[in-house]
Amino acid sequence: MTSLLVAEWLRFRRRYDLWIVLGGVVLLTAFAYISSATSAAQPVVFAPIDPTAPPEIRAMIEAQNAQIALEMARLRDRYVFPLSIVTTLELGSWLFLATAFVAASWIATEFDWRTIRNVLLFEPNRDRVLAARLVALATVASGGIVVLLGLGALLPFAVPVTGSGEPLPVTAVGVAATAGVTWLWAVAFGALATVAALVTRSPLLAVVLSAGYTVLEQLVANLDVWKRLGLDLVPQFFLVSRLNALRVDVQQAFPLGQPYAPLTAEGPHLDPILGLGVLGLWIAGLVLLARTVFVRADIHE
Amino acid sequence: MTLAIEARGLRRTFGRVVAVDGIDLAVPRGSVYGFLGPNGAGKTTTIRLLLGLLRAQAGEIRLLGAPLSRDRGLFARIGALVERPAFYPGLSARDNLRVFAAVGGRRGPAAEARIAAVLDLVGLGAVAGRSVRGFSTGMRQRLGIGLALLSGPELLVLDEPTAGLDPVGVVEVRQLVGQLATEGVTIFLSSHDLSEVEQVCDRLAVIHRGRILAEGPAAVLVRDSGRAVVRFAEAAECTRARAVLEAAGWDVASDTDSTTLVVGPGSAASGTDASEADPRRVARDLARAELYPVELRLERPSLEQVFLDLVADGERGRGA
Repeated sequence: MTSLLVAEWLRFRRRYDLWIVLGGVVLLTAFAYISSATSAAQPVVFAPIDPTAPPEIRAMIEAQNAQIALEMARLRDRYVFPLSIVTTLELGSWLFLATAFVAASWIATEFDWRTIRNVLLFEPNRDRVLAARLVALATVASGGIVVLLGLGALLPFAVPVTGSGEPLPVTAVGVAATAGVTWLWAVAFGALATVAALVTRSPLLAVVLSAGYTVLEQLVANLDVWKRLGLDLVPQFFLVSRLNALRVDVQQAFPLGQPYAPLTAEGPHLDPILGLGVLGLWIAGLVLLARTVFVRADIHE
Repeated sequence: MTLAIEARGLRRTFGRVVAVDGIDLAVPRGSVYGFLGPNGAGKTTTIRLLLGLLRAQAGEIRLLGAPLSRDRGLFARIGALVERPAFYPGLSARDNLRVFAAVGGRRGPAAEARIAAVLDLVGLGAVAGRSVRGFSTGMRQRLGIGLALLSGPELLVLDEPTAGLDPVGVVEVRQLVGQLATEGVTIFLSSHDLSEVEQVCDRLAVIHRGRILAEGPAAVLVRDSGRAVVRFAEAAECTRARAVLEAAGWDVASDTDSTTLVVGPGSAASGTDASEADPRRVARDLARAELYPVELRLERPSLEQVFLDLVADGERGRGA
């Protein structure tokens, strides 16, 4: 397996297109962070209070202004370390799209370039070939998370913002859970794109198929028929719905306070642990499907 | 005789198209085995079946004495160039070989030394660091051969190895095949280039429309098609001779010339030369009827003619 992973690295390091996509996540996350932090750091200017107003009115307006200033300062807390780490994880949550693209392109180009034939002549055990590729993809997703964590730790020093001064509503477990959700999104979409790439053998079609599935699933999940039949819980078992629900679960389990209004779940909601199990089954099922497609595939390329 | 490739009853269809139709192959170890056939005959499909890239719908395959499996140990003893060579365009020739060496479990100084040796062997040592994207068809073909040789195989499967090479490259590949054969490597060489096969192969099979039409040592295939050409002074003699020879069991055809007959083996031939019209025996049968031709010679066609005849026979067989 080590040799296969070395081979993956030798291939990946020259795939500049994939580096650009992954680099794009980092750059856009950093850009979004910097621009929003800079905007949030602008001082709040209140309209002067009319000196002729009665003292009790002036006092009321001053109290309101102080409250607004405090709320604004609390909003700026999201750019203060260590809450800034959660902010970059949230801003970079579309890492899942990049991972899906990398999976689709990395796998399908083996067919496009016909190099899959050579790979299977040197390692005919297709389980091992697929396992190495999936491990490599999971590593890419993990690398993305690490970079987002690093951005969250460094950017507050590059763009210093004064917060409310109150204790920050963040814990190490909460950060880890948020990072875990972002990673699971990336892994789940990577697995979905892997199946699509093995079925279509085309990078473009694999991306289209993955996106098509996501849209279709959301359309089906939002059908009224579930409510009418008393099956509201069924869409909760769908992949994308489950991932969305997991994000809600984490925010409810680890409330991050004022900067993030806690997400609320609409309709019936699965128990978080059961939901995590369902998501695990989804990912395992996609990997099993990818394996079945690949092991049985005829290599015409 | 130990076999490097043994296949029985291989069959593969694609929809209604029968690409490989019950093929049997027995490639002796140490031989250079030619696999001849026109484009679309089923050569590449057969090779893909042999290498496990396609699943056979029927039949059995044994490679180097072991059943075909997805075992890296078995494939480490096999090198293959299938159709047009394929590489990672963004990588150099050396890095491409590094990738596949690593996929095969080979890393470190020994692998690096082997990669360098193979690149030198195929004449790409000087451009080993260049991106494959800029390689010509011939350079890619050479690299493909190098890739097939990377593991130091006991069995080398080459599918059209000289395609895209210039005349010098073609000669070099033939020399390389000859050299490997003397080192004991079994070479299974698929081609539609008859001269290539004739020059390097000691045994061959002809495939057409998914079926093996003929198989055996190249020299025997040519000899088996030997015909006696008999010319008489007069057309009347020729007519009488035809009746005599047909009565003796020879397969007789008239030439365009009314005084000339072309005699094939038919049922009159027997013994070791059963498939060749032996001119001495034809002469003896004619002499018994007091017929004396002015010319009697054995005509052996080129491998090309044998191949074309076999393919034409195959077409007639399908049409019948």
